[in-house]
Amino acid sequence: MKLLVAVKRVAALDEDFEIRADGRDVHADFLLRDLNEWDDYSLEEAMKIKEAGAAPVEVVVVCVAAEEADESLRKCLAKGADRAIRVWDEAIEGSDSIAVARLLAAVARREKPDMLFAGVQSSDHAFASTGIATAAFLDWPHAAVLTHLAYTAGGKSAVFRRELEGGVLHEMQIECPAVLTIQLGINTPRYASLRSIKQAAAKPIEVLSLEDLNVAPGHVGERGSLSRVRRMYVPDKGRAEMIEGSVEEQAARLAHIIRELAGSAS
Amino acid sequence: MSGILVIAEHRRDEVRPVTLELVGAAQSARRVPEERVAVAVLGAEPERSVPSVSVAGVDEVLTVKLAAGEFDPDAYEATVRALIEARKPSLVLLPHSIDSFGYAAAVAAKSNHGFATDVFRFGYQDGALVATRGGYGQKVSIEMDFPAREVVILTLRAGVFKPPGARASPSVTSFAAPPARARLVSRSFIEASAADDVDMTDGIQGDSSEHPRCRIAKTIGHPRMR
Amino acid sequence: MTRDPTAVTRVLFEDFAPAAIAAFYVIAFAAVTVFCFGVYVEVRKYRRGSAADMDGRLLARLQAMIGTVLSHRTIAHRDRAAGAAHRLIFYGFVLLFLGTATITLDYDILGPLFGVHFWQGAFYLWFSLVLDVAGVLLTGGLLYMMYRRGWLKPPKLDYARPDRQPGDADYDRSGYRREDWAFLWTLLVIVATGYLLEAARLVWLEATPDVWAYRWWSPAGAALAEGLRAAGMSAASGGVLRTGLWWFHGLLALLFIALIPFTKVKHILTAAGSLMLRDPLAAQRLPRVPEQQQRAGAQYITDFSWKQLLSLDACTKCGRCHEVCPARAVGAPLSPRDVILSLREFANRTLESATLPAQAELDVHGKGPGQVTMETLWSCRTCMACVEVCPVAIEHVPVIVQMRRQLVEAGQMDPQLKKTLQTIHKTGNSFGEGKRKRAAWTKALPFAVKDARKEPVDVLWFVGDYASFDPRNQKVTQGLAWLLQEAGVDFGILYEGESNAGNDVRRVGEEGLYEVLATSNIESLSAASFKTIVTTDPHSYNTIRNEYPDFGGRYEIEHYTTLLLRLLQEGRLRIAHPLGLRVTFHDPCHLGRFNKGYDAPREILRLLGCELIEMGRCRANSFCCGAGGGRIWMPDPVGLDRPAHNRMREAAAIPGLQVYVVSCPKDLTMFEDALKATGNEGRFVVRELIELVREARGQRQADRQ
Repeated sequence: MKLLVAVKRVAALDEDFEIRADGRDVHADFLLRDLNEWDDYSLEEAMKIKEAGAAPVEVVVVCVAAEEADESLRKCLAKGADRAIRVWDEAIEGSDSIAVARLLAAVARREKPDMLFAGVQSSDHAFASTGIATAAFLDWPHAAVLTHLAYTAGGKSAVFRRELEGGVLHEMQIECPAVLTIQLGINTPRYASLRSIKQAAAKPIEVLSLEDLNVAPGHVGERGSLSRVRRMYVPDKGRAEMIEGSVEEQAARLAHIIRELAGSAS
Repeated sequence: MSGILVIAEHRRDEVRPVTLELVGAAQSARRVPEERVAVAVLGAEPERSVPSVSVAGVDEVLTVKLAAGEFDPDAYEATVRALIEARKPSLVLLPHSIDSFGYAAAVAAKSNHGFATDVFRFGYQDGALVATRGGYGQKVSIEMDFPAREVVILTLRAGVFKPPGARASPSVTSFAAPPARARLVSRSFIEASAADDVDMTDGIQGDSSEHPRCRIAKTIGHPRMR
Repeated sequence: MTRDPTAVTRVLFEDFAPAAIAAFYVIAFAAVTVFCFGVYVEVRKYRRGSAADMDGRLLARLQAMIGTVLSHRTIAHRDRAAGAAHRLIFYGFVLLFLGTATITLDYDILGPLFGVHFWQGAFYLWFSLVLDVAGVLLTGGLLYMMYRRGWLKPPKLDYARPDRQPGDADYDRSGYRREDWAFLWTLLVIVATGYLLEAARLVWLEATPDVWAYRWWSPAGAALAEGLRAAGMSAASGGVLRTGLWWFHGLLALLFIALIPFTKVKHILTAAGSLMLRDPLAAQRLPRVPEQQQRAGAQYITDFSWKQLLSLDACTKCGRCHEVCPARAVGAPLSPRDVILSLREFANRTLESATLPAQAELDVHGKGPGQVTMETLWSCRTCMACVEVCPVAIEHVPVIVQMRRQLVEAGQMDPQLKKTLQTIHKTGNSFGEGKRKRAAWTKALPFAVKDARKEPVDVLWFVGDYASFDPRNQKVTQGLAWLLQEAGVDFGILYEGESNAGNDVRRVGEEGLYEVLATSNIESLSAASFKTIVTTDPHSYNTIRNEYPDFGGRYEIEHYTTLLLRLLQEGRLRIAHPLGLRVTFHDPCHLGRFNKGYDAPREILRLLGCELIEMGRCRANSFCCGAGGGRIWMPDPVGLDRPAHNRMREAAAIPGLQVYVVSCPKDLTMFEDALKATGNEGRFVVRELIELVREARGQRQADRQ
């Protein structure tokens, strides 16, 4: 039994960041990288399934990123993942989620896992697309925004709940193997002590190239993406209004604004 | 490629209000006034939803009858792809919603269309579609474009675009859903435990007979409402 | 000298049949054999622990231990009465024991082997007197202890434990109480029967001039003998009584000896051992995880070192650690005494049998008998009050931290703590702020603060997390910058080169993260050029001073209080006007108790013209604010009192108190909150020492509260 967990190395902005000279991204010096918060949950979900099953389950994490992502992969190995795969090639630079998904699908074809987990979205750009696009390339059943999962490794189906707007949960059953995107709060991610991260350095990280995955360079990078970044900029301060006054006044003002934005006369 | 296709969002036989925001957004996307805006309504009894989307700015309502009443990503994906194939719109608008999380990227990936999510502003610059979304935890804005893509799919952020005010009578056409094997089955809905919370992510919904001011007052504990 | 038939002595085994003497020796050997076996079992138990670091200074340690034991310094520490009574017991017992040994030496060794006898004549007479006095001392000590335990009933001798509920298997402590009383009574009976035996012998031998004439050299026995004769006892009955008492007293004493290793009495040996092997830097400098060790922390009882297992046996349940613990004081499920006793019970149950049980049965974590729960371990503030007060040098804090290391590896900790550790790993500080913001406090100053990474400085100021990022503490930090600037000190800071010093991360048990932080700071420090380090944060002070050397960073570091004192004394900082405030000073754990830094802040207050009224719990007995051991990163359990509130109430009892003075950033945060929470806002204020110095120089802080 094998579970494949796709993780992303996200970037947060440091204080006083600057936009790059070409205006299409923030200067690399101001990017603080770390493992995507959602991936803590998807990895934990995989570990729970691994630890609950009687039969041995291999948990493999995969990340499409350059060498500096090895730090996050080590953290995943420290948490109990059995193997880590990193995919990188110069040509991958500039890929959007769809191009990355193409690579993940190639890894899945190579690894033949029983399930593929990904986070709902990443904490930096939040495209919320990579997992589902991977499913499309694999033509696997898929579901997103899971807050609850009942699945035994190798099972033919899984029952899950996805969280809808308003907090309502929608319970569904899905055929497996499938791609599931995992939402925050589905479990409590375990802590990886620094000692265990250090010890995980003994576990290997397999690095794959485009060649290894049989993916043409034209299918990744900008050419393989479905969108392109034209410009990145810091927006002017938004229209934030401080609503003052008594509770009644506040309520009235709020209602007025909401009706204004909603546009309907209820 | 021309025409704008709006995919209506359903929840339990009700068209969600965000659909009308998409219609409002579609208006500003018309490159020429005659460009047609169509709204596709998917569901077990799509005709019942036609009145909710018969608003100004909608030229045509496409009803698609699906086997399952509730959301099924495979059926939605196949239908939207078929709709795009048949109607060849230049722009397809979906809400950036939980349902869209489940299938929008699959449509784009399989059909190789232009794709961007959580867009809060878009327009044409020198004939090219430019969509703006957030980046790095909403600390920056990113302008995206879609070179050489004839069809572009955008998921739009809720609560940004104004829905049309007036009502209208668009033409209604039925569209045959393509066959799609159901790999998912809907089982049940489980209500949230805190039923009194107003979910600000979605605008005011729920009991539409209740005055919005009353609902707000309730949440901030206006003594009059206790 | 040979046996002088004319010299006075006591005839041993007088009128005993040879068979009886033989029987006695057989029983004596049996008792000693049982004793040896008991010692063997205990030693085997200790050897089942892990290896321990030995610094090889055994002779010096032995000498120090003998000195400590003879002076009873640690027993009298903060409990004069117990110290005095135990001295009586100790010296009484030792003298009596040496007495018996002396007789054995003369009668069983030197006599038969070499024909040498010294136990006679004047030596014998003075010997008798000394031993009689020793018996009186011993009796006096025992009676006081009985009175203390039975009537005074001090709270520290209440064995009720906060880490178990009634109904739990090991909740009941009556077994211990019975053992305590049995110990006292047995000794008392041995001494009493000893005197009676003496008296009976005198009555029996009243006709023997050699005995009767010298009877007052055993005054207690002689007085009793007079009493017996006055009551009409004849010589013959005296003889019968003597025989009976001889056997009773002898057998009881031999039984006592035999049972030493099986009972509380073993503390005679284990306490000495524990004192001899003490780590002078216990709790200040935590042990590293040995390279080859599989587990980071203590999961099984055998993960503790043999030294630690030995010191578990040294505990006599004196209850002082239980009394001083701030967590216990506020109702948390932690008593250092009960952690030690639990582990001891566990060790006894598992490690005293011939074969070692399976490893799974050796897990000390959990809710079972003898195990220690997570809640207990996480309640500790690592304030070291327990270690400081323990008379037998038990080191509770390293035991708790080693067990915490295991909890950290297993991820069993408060979610808030988990998050904070991840934040510290990511950003190098516990506030989650970007590294560049560490020196943001310098921007409000009209002068530049030197970057010690770029230019050499005399004094490198290691600021610390709270002093850098917490808004209230930033004002204090800015204040110190002003003082250093005005005094003309050449100082600089490390800016982004500084990370959290790691003291509390280590005490939480995240040893791996501590190593990362220490290594990073040492790297920054090594690259900088300076003479000494000064710090505003006692936690950083402790770890840089005591623990960084283990990681390759050896620096001369002081807390700002000694630097400020020097500047004041040298006149480089002058006081404009004395403050004339009535103040009290809270000794921060990591400056005071940990590193003995009690005097500099007090001297500064005196120079500032303040009237210092000490709180009851001051200096080494200072009561922790509750933030240590990572507790500041964990939410307080609802419904419990808090150490800072407890401390505030102590301060509030000082009449006319105007200022509660602190000299630690965490103390400032905790006590300002506590001031409000205990309703003392408006009655007195909390101030950092630096703020008082500035006020005395006529400079007001930017915004007063």
